[in-house]
Amino acid sequence: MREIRFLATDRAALFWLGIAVLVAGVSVSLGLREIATQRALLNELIEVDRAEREVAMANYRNWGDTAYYTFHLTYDSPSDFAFAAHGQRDTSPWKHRIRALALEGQIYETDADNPDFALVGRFDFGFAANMLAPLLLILLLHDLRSAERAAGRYELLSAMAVSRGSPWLARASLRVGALMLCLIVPLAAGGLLAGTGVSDVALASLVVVLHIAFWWGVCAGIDRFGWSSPVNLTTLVGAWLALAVVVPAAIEISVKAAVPLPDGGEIMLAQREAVNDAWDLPKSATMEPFVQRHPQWADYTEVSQPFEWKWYYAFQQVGDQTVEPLSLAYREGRMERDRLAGMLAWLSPPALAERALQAIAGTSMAASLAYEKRVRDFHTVLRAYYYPRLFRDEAFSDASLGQRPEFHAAGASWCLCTPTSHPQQRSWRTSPSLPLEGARGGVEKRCSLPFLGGGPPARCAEALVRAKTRATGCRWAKAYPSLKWHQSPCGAIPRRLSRAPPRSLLRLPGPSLHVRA
Amino acid sequence: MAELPVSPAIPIALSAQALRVVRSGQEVLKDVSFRIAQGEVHALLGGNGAGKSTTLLTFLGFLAPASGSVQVRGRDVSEDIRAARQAIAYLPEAAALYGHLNAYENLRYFLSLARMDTQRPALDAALDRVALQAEAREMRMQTYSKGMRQKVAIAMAILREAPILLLDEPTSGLDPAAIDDFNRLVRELAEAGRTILLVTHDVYGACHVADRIDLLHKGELVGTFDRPPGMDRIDTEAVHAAFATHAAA
Ligand SMILES: Nc1ncnc2c1ncn2[C@@H]1O[C@H](COP(=O)(O)OP(=O)(O)OP(=O)(O)O)[C@@H](O)[C@H]1O
Ligand SMILES: [Mg+2]
Repeated sequence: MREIRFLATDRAALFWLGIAVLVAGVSVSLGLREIATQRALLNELIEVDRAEREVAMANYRNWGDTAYYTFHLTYDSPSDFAFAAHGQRDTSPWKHRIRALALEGQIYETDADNPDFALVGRFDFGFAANMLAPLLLILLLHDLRSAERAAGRYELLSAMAVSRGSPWLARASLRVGALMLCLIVPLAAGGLLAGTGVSDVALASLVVVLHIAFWWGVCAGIDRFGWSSPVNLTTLVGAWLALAVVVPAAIEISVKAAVPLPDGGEIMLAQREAVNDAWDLPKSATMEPFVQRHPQWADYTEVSQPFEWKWYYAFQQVGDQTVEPLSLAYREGRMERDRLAGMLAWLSPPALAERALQAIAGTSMAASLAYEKRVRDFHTVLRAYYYPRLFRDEAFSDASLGQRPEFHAAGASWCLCTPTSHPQQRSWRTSPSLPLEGARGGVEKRCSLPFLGGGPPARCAEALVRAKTRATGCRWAKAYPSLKWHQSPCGAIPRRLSRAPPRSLLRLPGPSLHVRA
Repeated sequence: MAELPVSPAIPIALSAQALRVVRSGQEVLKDVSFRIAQGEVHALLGGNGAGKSTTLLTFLGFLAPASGSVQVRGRDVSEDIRAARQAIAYLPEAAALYGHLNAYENLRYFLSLARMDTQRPALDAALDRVALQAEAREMRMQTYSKGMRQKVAIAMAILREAPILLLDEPTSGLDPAAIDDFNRLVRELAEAGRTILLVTHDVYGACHVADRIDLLHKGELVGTFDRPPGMDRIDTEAVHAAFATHAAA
């Protein structure tokens, strides 16, 4: 209490704490905005994607054209904690438009819409907490004793203090605690707005606490030497520079040197060249390597016409096959780099804390590679769907088309629910083109269970979510009215809502939307 | 050292035995011994750099003896620094309180470190005792003159209510009237049973208030002057003479 009152009169400390709140608050709100933008963009793209596929479905009535003209949006939805640490979402693509052509080029094509160059957006909570907060802590703690010594109060304060460590420990812990709060409160507020799970926020707070505690240890260690304030400050800022800037840069350089990588553009070019060359090669040059990979189509390799779709898709696949070693090396190299960087990050607590936050936020390199793998898996499934139809020249039918796989995003914790396309119909279901996203890491299943009935919006949404959790086997799900809501069967819901939580909208008591199965 | 004439009936509040202190590789106290009985006023006199402040800091445990020992109320300081500090009210040489706080706030903050919750009337009584003008008390201390700051520091030492007071140049910056006041205060405190070790450059004042004066020169005790029984002060001329001899040496 005494020290709280004293801290309240310490203008410099209050100033730095104010800066901490400001920096954390701004970073959180920028992060929330960035994620909201990404979500809104995804939601629009999901609609566009569905509409486009419907157009393609109407316009093309054979398998070759349909496979050629039908794009599938693949994407990695931001997690509800991604606002705090953008991580790889700033530099690696998180959405693609995929079709049944050669894949490598589609994956590594730099999508102008992916924010590859949005370096200004790099100011996230992770940066505030891991890079700036240690500096603020240094400013708060570096002269705790030395300033008193310089002012001639040190002996008097120490001689007066009855309890052990007082007032130094009290002053330091108060400042450290206040700084932690200045970071965690905005983070928790952001989490509340984003609907982040309590455990994620708690885990991230723990990371912040441990990281700040490390820097407290550094400050306390330097303090033991009894140097003057300027010497303390210089030494501590030097330590910060070393641990937060120099070591991470050295890690990056050495990891890059230790694990050389082909680059994605190279893979894309090599694959495109292979595909282009195929036009001029004898058909057998394509069909032989293709059949090696897919022996089940060996009986169907006869190409009599100058152009046949099966040959076209075969050389697309062969294009991928030619760059396969390069592509594999690229993926494994990135994984290896990430593994090495993860080990070396123990040399730099700020880097370690950043990695921890990214892991919680699902924005790590591992998450990015996992998304890439989902895209590859989806593409494989898509090919497996088209090949029998192309090679056996199956008849085109809507029923057969209805079996075409859809991409489902995993990794986010929202269950997206939209009303069916007929607003008058008293039934809701997840639209077939919309994913139902289970709990992160959980099994991803699509819910197509109709919800019938009316009632107040709250009941409606709750029942909907319950039905979904049951249908999907997900541990939990949330209704996320992010899309255009039409007249709901249970009453009017605003047409457009860009972000969670639906709680306020639906006037539901808190947990009823987080229905646990 | 001659045997110190202290009655065994009165407990010893402070004692130094063959005290040697080294600071930055320099021996700044060499074989210093003295004892101060409870209720005694003891003055340490000496030129600049003689080792007076160093002696006080050693009693507070801020400096450790290189050899020899210091005791507070019979207990070795190195054994229990906390107990020593708790028994002592300390007035530092350059008593700087917080400039952004007023006199009351400063007193309350520092006293609260000693777990004392002193109320306004008691604070005012102490500030009255050192004659700090009432209108200044609510002002930030950065607006105070040197003497005003010193008065607040003295008030703090009184309010601390410790049995022993270590006062490092308490009269520096005080006007003559305030010095007279202070000397009276010291006698009153001693009569109330407090033990006072006073570091000063004011030979005249020391002779008036002290029961004994120790003369420190370059880290060594070079002279001891006791108040003769029945006299109200120590012989100023003798102290001056001794001081001058050593200053010339
Ligand atoms: N912080 C310090 N570090 C190292 N040596 C010091 C320090 N302070 C004082 N000394 C040395 O200790 C010796 C005694 O200093 P001390 O402060 O005890 O003198 P003093 O008798 O109080 O003098 P003054 O009358 O000027 O206050 C001096 O020689 C000084 O050089
Ligand atoms: Mg001194």
